[in-house]
Amino acid sequence: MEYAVEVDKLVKRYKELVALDHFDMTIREGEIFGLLGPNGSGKTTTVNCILSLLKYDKGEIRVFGREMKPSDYELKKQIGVVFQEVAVFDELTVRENVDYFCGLYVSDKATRKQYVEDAIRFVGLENYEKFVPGKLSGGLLRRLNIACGIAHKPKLIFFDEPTVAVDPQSRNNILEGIMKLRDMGATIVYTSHYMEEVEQICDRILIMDKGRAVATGTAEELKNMTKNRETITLETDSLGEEDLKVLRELPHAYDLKYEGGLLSISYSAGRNNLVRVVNYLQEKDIAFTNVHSKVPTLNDVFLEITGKELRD
Amino acid sequence: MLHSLKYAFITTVKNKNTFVWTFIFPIALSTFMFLSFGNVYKDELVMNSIPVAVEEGVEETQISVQNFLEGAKQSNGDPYFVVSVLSKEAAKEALENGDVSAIVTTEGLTPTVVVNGNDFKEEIVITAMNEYLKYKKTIDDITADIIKNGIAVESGAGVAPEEMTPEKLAEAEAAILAKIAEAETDEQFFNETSLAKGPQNIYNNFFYATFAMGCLFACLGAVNLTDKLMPGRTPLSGRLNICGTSKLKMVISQMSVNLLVVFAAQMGAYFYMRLIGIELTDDILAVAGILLAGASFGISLGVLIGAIPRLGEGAKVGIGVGVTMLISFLADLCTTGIKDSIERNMPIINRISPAALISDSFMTIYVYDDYDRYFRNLITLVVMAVVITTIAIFILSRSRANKMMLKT
Ligand SMILES: Nc1ncnc2c1ncn2[C@@H]1O[C@H](COP(=O)(O)OP(=O)(O)O)[C@@H](O)[C@H]1O
Ligand SMILES: [Mg+2]
Repeated sequence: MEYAVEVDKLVKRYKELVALDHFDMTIREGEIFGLLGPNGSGKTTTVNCILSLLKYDKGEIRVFGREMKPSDYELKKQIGVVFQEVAVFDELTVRENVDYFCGLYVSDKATRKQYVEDAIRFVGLENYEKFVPGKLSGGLLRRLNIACGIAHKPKLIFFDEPTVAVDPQSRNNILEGIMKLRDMGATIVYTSHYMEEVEQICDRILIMDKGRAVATGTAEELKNMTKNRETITLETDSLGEEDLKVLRELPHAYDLKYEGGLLSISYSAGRNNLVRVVNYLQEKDIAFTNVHSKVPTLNDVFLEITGKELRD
Repeated sequence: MLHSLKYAFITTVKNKNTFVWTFIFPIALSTFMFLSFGNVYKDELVMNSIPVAVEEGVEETQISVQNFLEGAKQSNGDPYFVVSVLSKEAAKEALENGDVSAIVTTEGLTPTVVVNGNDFKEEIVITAMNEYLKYKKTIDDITADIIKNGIAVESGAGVAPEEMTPEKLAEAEAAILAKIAEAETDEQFFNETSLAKGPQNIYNNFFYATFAMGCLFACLGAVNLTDKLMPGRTPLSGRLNICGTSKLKMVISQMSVNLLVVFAAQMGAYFYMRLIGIELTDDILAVAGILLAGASFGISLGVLIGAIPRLGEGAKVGIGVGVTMLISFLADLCTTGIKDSIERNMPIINRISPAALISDSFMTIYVYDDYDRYFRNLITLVVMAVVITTIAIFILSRSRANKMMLKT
């Protein structure tokens, strides 16, 4: 198996604060790898260390099997980065910006021209080529930022929270673009604190918290790590002790709460959990409303492992 | 490379503030100076003779200096100096009382000048004595030549080395000294020296200083540009640091464009000064050479300062200003007297101090007509620039940030 990125026991401190604490990560070629963690968990620090922008205190980093160094320009040529913050020249137009950054990698003029056009089309900025960044809206700026990072058709691309503060339309546009890049053969490292996005596009996900890797796997694998498989909630006023006892004994149920007319049952496995509950209530002629069946999310995984919510 | 050059140029030119200031600053400064003492260019200035005390000391030196100073005549025939020969104590007292502007001590073969202030009278005495030293060196060279080769002295008697006797040598020397003294005491000698132009020439130093400062202050722009290449400074610097182009290429292309702009601005200032009537050298090529070498130095200095790890941009600019001011100060760009004192105590500093080299280069072409020294100055400047740039690029291509300066 070829690894695009290997990070081994990485430690990074900012004075007293330990931003990365023996952090391990391996990214396979050709996948979209999601780095999921709340704000301040160390995602950006990880990316900057891999790119050799930041010094770190301990650990090893290899990119395509080579140790990453600031002066390894051959290795850098294969990498593209879309930073969290927009990084373009205010003095240059959209096209000039893309051309400039592309030219730092691609010296052949004809190839570059083609690449620049591809990149501009890829992010849908054809109609804004002559605009300077100051004249673009936030979403369009993000797209320009992406074009500048990927125009040289790199083999490995880092996206650091590219959808933060972006309108839904641009967000979908960006997510689709990332999947398209993967389909064209690139390896993608995608950081985010939005679990829905990560779940939607990533082949494998690493959940990080306080500078540590807490779990890695596909979204399915991660969810299988929790005890909970399904939680059913519904509203009813007329449950007695007898009823609760029966419900608690239903197959796979491991936890039941009934407070203020709200019933909540957790299951560790199984199908048809909902059917059994509904059948029982119907049999006893108990009225109920607002039935929900909830399967676990990455947030539940995070909650179960770290004891806190993923969202802020 | 061409690509980097092209965009370095576009971004520089489009960055209007810096660009405009690069051009306006030297012009504003020279206008200001011209308004302050431009009148010396308009009037044929005749001044009262300057009282100078020559201390009693080695008689030979004393007489030689006395003859030299008394021989200096202004354009209207008045002497530049009134010389009185005084004892050491009397001279000191006269200087303190303000009866004389300077004392020339003659304790050894080389006279030295003691002054009490630094207005242009003192400047003129110092300049005159520098001329004297040059003139004395010429005599010494000729004498040495006589001792080595033997020459036909003016009296006509050919003397071959093997026939040289102490008496004949003394005779030859006396003849030559007499010859030179004769030549130098008439106005002709002074017409060829810097004194001929009187105070104008001293004020020219200030204008040469604006060039030297302009070249040195180019380091600030370079600090700014280089700081942007340090990892961790801005998102843009991050992007420039992960790209597949070497720091060597990026720095060199940025420096080239920077050099071009600073050079153009300084040349612009030169033409402007001449236009408003400041009398500078008209050897444009030589001026261009000085400005190119000077600006290369200033910019490379800025690149090195910009590459200092772990400092913020403000701190780096502060260092740039500080270093520039220090260099300027040592080279008398802001005051007078320091450079001379360095020349007497640690002359090596003046040989490598960039501001001194720049202003001295102007003097070499305008006053001394000494092209060996001109080229030596320029080569020193360029070599220093290359060394500094190499160190800076070495640092830049290895640096990683301790932390990112970005908001996270
Ligand atoms: N420049 C810095 N100086 C000090 N602490 C920092 C700096 N950058 C990040 N940190 C700290 O390091 C931790 C990780 O930050 P970061 O990598 O930006 O997290 P994320 O990208 O996941 O939001 C946070 O606690 C943050 O406060
Ligand atoms: Mg971040």
